[in-house]
Amino acid sequence: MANENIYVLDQLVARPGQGEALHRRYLDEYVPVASERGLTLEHRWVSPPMWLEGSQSNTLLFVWSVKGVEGYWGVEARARVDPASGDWWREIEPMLVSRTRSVMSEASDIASLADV
Amino acid sequence: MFKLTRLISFQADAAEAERAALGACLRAVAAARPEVLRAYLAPTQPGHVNGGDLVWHLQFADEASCSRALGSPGWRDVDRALATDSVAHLDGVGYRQELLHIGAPGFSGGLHRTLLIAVRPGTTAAKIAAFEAEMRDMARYLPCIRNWGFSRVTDGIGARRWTHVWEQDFDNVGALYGPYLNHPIHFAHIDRWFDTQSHDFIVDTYIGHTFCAVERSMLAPAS
Repeated sequence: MANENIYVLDQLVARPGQGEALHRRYLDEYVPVASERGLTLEHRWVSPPMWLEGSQSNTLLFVWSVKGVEGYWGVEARARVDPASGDWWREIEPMLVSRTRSVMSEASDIASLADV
Repeated sequence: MFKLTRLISFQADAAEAERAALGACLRAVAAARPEVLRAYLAPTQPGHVNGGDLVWHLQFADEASCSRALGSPGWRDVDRALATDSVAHLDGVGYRQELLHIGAPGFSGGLHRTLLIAVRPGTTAAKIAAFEAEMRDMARYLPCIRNWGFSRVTDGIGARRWTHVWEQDFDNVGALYGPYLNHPIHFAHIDRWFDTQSHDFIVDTYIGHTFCAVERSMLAPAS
């Protein structure tokens, strides 16, 4: 285990017509909090790259990074001492069809990360 | 095998004599009960989370044996000792140890870790089943876990309605806070069940994480 980049991917499927508003809320409300905890926002992708209307959903993908497993645990520790850390996610549920959060690395880092 | 585990927290100002008297009482009562196959009382090591000052492990052949012991007149001494003013808080679980892996039956001179968790009310049975399956599978990636058990709680007391007990034997605290904590199976996979920001968050953030030194495994059946 060296000091690999750890990535956190939030994938949010917005309710139809809610994509742009959800994107704005994520940037305005969540990004400052997560940044303060130690994550760096690398990408904010939207699929398709337009705001859908009618009955169709945008998918929003936010890619964060933090240096090293220790850094990742530090971010998590700061979130978990905050009793409200889950509140924001519950607040945006009405705007979501679904969401996932995944923690990942470059494939080339698998071996070193598993070498603990 | 049926087990009882108790995490005992003293008041900060509890006198050494009071702490020692409680320990002596627990040891004496457990030693006097034929239903108790093994008993082990040990101080919690630094670094625990809501883990108490003492950990008390008790093994019984089955739940009926445990009930007989707890209902015996002698056990009233335990109840009284744990209800004294010197005791600030008590967490505990009773559970049938149904999912058990003893990879190192001769394990000695290491660390026994206990994690009490409470799956949040309203969690679907499907999610609980997926969580349990992943917990059972975790140790295959982590040879630092010498022995392990993962059990549903039959009877819990304390700060939460405890639902599960996750126990492991490690060689030392370095294995717990090194390979165990830092392996991807932990931080990038299993931990999402505990992460308030994850879509799969189901475990109450209040946990009982405690560990103590052991001469031999408390997971292995009494011999």
